[in-house]
Amino acid sequence: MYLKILNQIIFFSLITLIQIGFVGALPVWFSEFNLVLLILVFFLGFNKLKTALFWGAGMGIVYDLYSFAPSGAYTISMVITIFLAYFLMENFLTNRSLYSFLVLASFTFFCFEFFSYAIINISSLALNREFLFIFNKSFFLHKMYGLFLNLFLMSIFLYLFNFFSFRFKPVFLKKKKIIAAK
Amino acid sequence: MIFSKKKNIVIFIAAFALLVFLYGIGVLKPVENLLTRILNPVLKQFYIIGTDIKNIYEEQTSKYDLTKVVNELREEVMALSGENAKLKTVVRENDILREHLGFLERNELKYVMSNVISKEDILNVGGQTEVIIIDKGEQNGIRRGLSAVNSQGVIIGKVAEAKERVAKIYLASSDKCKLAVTILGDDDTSGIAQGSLGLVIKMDFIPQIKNLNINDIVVSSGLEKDIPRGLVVGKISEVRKESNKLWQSAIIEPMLDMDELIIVSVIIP
Repeated sequence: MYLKILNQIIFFSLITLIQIGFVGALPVWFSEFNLVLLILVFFLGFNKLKTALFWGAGMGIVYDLYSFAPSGAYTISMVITIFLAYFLMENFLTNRSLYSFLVLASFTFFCFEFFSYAIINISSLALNREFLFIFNKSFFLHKMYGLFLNLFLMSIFLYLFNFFSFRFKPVFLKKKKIIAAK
Repeated sequence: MIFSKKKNIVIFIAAFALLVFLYGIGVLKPVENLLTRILNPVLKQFYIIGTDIKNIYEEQTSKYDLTKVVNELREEVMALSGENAKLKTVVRENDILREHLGFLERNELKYVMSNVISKEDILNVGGQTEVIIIDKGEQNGIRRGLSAVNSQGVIIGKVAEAKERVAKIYLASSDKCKLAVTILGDDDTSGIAQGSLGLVIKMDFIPQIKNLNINDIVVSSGLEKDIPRGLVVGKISEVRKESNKLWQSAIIEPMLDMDELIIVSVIIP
């Protein structure tokens, strides 16, 4: 059991480092790709709340190690996002179809960004530090493109996953013709 | 079962809140230092791979006319060679004068070399690279306000914050980075250089009576406490002068590609 926990710690640490170092260095819009949140959405989609919380808190801690935001800002944002996304999934998204994953992913990205900015800016206000000014066209355009990129990549991952397993419902229900026996 | 699930959630939240509190007050700093020490080399490698991919992508998509650029550079090299010869003479004269006057030997600049491990674009506000994270911090003598240079001694930015083992640097093209600068060869022309949109540097508060020329080299003036004099910032690409204003301004083009930084040195005063 401890080995399993240690494996998970190593794995989510590597994924977070890939997000911070590798993805951050990629050109143009590719740096908007959020591998961390996509993985958390996968876990939530399969009802693995405990795993999602453990991974989310761990990945948030690794984010905070390399961030100069107030201590715990990303960890808190990650955990709140997971709880809210789980609430949405349990009460409004009851099937595991592509559209429900995309809705869950959109909601998760929005929540994480919102809470991260909120916590950082509120604490900046309290500590008299620099403020992240976000109300401009460039910022929202950038975020929108980032969201579309992440949803596109999420769709690809889901289709690949579905190709190798059958844990998802189809997007469109197929109608079967019933031929009455004469 | 519902009670047990709620109990687990309450325990998780309590443990999590305690962890965040301890982290916030600094009790977990030794753990943080140990983790960053272990993770920094791995992060550095991921960043290098990502930067290599970015460079390949930009090379393929670049639409520069390379022949034109080569010809322009050849002309510039020839002009600089002539200037270099003149400067060497001046340096020799300076050395002789110093010996005669008995000046103390100037200290070599102290510096801390570090690797770039990330761009702090976790929230990615602007899309342009304006901040980099390096793998050295307070333990190595780095603190807020110090200058960072590349291997050719061109200033790339200023240290914004430093933790024990990592530090954040605002690039010179960031609007949060301000430098006291002067024109090389004209010490009377000083101003403040501030980044703009993550692309260029703008030099303001230059008196109208001063003559600025395109391609003039801009260097640090030494008027800032922790930044030595003579560090190259860039060259003037545009001069903005209006007769009804008190000051004129200049647009400075950085002399290096901020996105290709892998190793930087922080100058320690």
